[in-house]
Amino acid sequence: MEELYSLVDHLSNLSRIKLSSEEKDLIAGQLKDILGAAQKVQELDTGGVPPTTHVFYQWRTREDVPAESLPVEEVLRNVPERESSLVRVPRIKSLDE
Amino acid sequence: MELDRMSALEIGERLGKREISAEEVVNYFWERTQKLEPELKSFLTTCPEEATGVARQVDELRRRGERLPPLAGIPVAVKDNLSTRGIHTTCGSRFLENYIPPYDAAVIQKLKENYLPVLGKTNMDEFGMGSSTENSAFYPTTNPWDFSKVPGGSSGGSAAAVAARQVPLALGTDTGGSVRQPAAFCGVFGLRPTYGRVSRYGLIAFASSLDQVGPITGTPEDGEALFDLIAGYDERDATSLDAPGDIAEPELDEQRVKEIKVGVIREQEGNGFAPEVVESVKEMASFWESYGAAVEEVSLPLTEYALAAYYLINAAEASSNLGRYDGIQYGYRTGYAADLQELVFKNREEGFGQEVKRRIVLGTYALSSGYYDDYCLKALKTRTLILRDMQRVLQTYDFLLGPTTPTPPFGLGEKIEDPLQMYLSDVCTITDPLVGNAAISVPGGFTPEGMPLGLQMSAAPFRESFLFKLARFWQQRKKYLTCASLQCGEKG
Amino acid sequence: MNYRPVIGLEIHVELKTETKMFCSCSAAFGEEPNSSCCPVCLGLPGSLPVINRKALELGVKAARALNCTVEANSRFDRKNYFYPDLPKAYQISQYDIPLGHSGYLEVEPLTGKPIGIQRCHLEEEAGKLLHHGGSLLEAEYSLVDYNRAGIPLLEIVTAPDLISGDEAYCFLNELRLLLLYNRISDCRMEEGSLRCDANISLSPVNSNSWGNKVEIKNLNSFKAVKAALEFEAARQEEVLSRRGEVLQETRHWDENQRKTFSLRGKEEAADYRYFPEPDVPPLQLDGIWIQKVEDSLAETPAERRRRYREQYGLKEGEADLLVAHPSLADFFDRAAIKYKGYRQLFNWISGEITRIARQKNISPEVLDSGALVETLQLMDEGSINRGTARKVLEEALVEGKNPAELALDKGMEQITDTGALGELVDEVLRDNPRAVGDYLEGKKKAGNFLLGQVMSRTRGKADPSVVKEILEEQVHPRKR
Ligand SMILES: [Mg+2]
Ligand SMILES: [Zn+2]
Repeated sequence: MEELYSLVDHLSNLSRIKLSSEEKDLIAGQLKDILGAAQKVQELDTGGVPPTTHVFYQWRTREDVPAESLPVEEVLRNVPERESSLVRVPRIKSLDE
Repeated sequence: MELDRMSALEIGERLGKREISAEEVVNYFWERTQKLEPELKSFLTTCPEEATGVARQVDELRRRGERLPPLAGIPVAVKDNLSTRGIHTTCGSRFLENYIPPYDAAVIQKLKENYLPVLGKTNMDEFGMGSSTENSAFYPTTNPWDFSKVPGGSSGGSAAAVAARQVPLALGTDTGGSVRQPAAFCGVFGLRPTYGRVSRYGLIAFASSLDQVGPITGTPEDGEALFDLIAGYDERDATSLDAPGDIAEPELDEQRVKEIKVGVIREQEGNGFAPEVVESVKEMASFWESYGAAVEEVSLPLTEYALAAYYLINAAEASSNLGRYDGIQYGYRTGYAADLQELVFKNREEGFGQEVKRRIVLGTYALSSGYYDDYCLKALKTRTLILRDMQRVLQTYDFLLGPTTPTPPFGLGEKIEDPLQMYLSDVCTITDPLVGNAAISVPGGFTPEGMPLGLQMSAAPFRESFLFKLARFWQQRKKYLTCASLQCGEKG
Repeated sequence: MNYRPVIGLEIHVELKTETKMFCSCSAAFGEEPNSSCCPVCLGLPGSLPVINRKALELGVKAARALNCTVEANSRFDRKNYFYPDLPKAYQISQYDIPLGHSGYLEVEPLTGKPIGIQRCHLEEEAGKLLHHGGSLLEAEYSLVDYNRAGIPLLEIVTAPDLISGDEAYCFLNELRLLLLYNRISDCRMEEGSLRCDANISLSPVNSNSWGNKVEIKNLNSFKAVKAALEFEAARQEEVLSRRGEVLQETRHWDENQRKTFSLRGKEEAADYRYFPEPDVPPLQLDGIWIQKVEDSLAETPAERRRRYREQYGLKEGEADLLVAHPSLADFFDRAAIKYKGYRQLFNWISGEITRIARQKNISPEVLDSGALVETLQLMDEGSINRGTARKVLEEALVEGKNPAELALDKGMEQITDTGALGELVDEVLRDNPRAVGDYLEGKKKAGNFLLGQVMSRTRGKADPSVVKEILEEQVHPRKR
């Protein structure tokens, strides 16, 4: 179970979601069940089977012709914090990507 | 005129003959919506002014003698994960509570081009994650047939709105059953189109390789009309298809039914399947048999693996799709945060609900290094096996028959604490999205308690028209009630 | 030295397209902040990407120019990470099946040593962050401009085949020329359309083992790449020489202090959670199309240098100079079709054309090579002298006029008709008997005066050497 907790911690970091300790309890517990159910796929023999990322599709591209962009005011409409026509973000603590 | 007893096409006919004005139609349904909304809570946002504006335009064009599309002037409700320019689009999430998109989804554009007044945005499980609409960040929607029951999900608001005839037409979206399952729970028709037949441009992504927009209606004819209107190639969606099969199938008569081969899915009975559900499937099987169709049992042995594969794929894609919600450009903003890192963590902590966090965590796990091959990749390979299996089966059968849901509508709060139980309620609907099939849920009668049961027919890609013809053949003879208005009236 | 540097480069170039990689917003540089944005490049909920065919074409072109195998069934993947300039929290990039791989570039200045190209792939650019109040780490807050977000990028990763800062410098120059000649990218480091990170480790001589790899960032010019690698090689050698350990880390090049500084340690390796992009179907490139793109490749810089030497007889330094300046080389090629005096042509291009382009701030790309050809022809015919030719050329290029007409209209055409000149000389001699007298007495000044008189009556049109000849001829008979 401890392993599961540190896994949940790691995943919470990777996905940028802070979890309260109750949430961690809950998710760790459920994750165990869900992963158990997800384990199901391990039973299948998929040797030599290619993955299906797109069920079916038609191959297509776009012409390199400019179209109108959004008006700047529309771009910024939902922005919580801005400075003139730029989007403002608080201090970036570290460079981890 | 009791417009709630008419189909959209019937109302459209009267509009065409100018027996009634579009503005009257919108008013009628807007009043009805208001009256029923306190009990149902199908809507997150309503926009009667905009709808009335479109109705007046329709009336004006008709006055000038212009010929309009068949559904012009018929009010429609759209799920709140479809981007609407200038109108709140929340996805049922606290995170997007104040988000107002600067653009219309492709399907919304099509509604506008065809002069359908959008009456409002319907409630849903947050970002489509759920099967009961209880995961809406705002409030649950109730089932019009019994307010203590869930309407299904995630398009629960759309299905409830149609079943209560707050509107005659609605759009839902289906990732693993989110159109069909609520349609079944609410006793109406719901189509999941072939993946790629309806543009996803402006459909806020949950799981990109599975999401599709589909119609929810009170009759199959309305469903087909609405589907025809929203379907078609869109150059803004690279997964959209230029369909060779855009031709409507001929009407199904008793002669043609005899040529049909029906496969009844063996795996969709037994453990976890309610007896009345199993019974309703049998009824439909013998119905087709009685009209001379060849009905056989067919096995889809990978069904149980499909559920696991489905949840892994949808969680993986969702974890990536929902990364953009960091609160920098739009969306939820926490109070004080010392730096960007903290801001993003807190925005996402406070802006997302429990189920969303759970799926993001699961999806992040499935994609993270060291686990990708065992989970995500394995699920995608499983998808290949399921696809092969399906292609094999559909060489023999014209369509597959089974229940839409393993149980009748369950009670509010009944499964919300147990995600695994909730996931299991999707077991009948997740296979078709994995393989790109078209599938329809049709009313299949009622439980002794009067709750609707849904039956599902799935067919090969591009066969939507055929499914609608099957649905029509069935409904013309069964005449199931698809409007819960009376119950609403009594209780409301 | 007991160690040998092992260097690899990772280069990002912006592709020369009109629109962005996955949407139709303009990819132009220097627009008003956030004015070239749409739901797609802003990553707004519900928006979807569609591949720009031109970007794909340029990607294939680059791949083939770098002798890479082009993967017809390549695909796009999502690279997931959080950063405020990345609107979707993932970059659409290519992971396990890049567009091109297993190539090489022969760098002529390195006596043709082929430098391996591990891969080149397409991806999208992030937005631009402006840090308020100093550098990233000191800034109080930052501002985001999404205009750059979504511009098509080509990432090129070399094999660790380079062994010095100088080699890296030469490689980058050759790569830049290759991309410029093929119009794949503008390669302007100052505008950020070419960026380079360098990896360096030291390997003991006569050993195949490598030390820990250091990644150097913030390299803003090719010279900085060279200097930073030289600094880093020396630093690492110094560390090793006192039996220290070179840490695997990312270091920052400080241009002012001419040093690298540790930016961050290895920490936890980033987990980008790559997976196939569900919104973009896998590529299905047509073999005939790939061949067509390949057929449109320009000759390599090396081939061009050779052509200039062998076909046009330019000296090595001259050929190098031309090829190093694509707009001049292209100008040369355009002119050389009609003018066979190649050395003359080279001299005028490296001289006059360069001067005019610089002074008038016009790119040689748009200068009319025909004007130079005609001017040189007028000069060769003797219609104008060298000084006049310069004036004619400049005016012809700047004002877009015809050199022959310019020479005529402006009365600048040289009078070479000896008959007409003879009459003029007669006239001058008749009008200035005293000067003629002095001239006959051998006074040089008088001769210059008479010459000046003739020149001024022709308003400078006469060829002075011809006038001098006639003067001599006509004065001397009188002497006799
Ligand atoms: Mg890159
Ligand atoms: Zn854009």
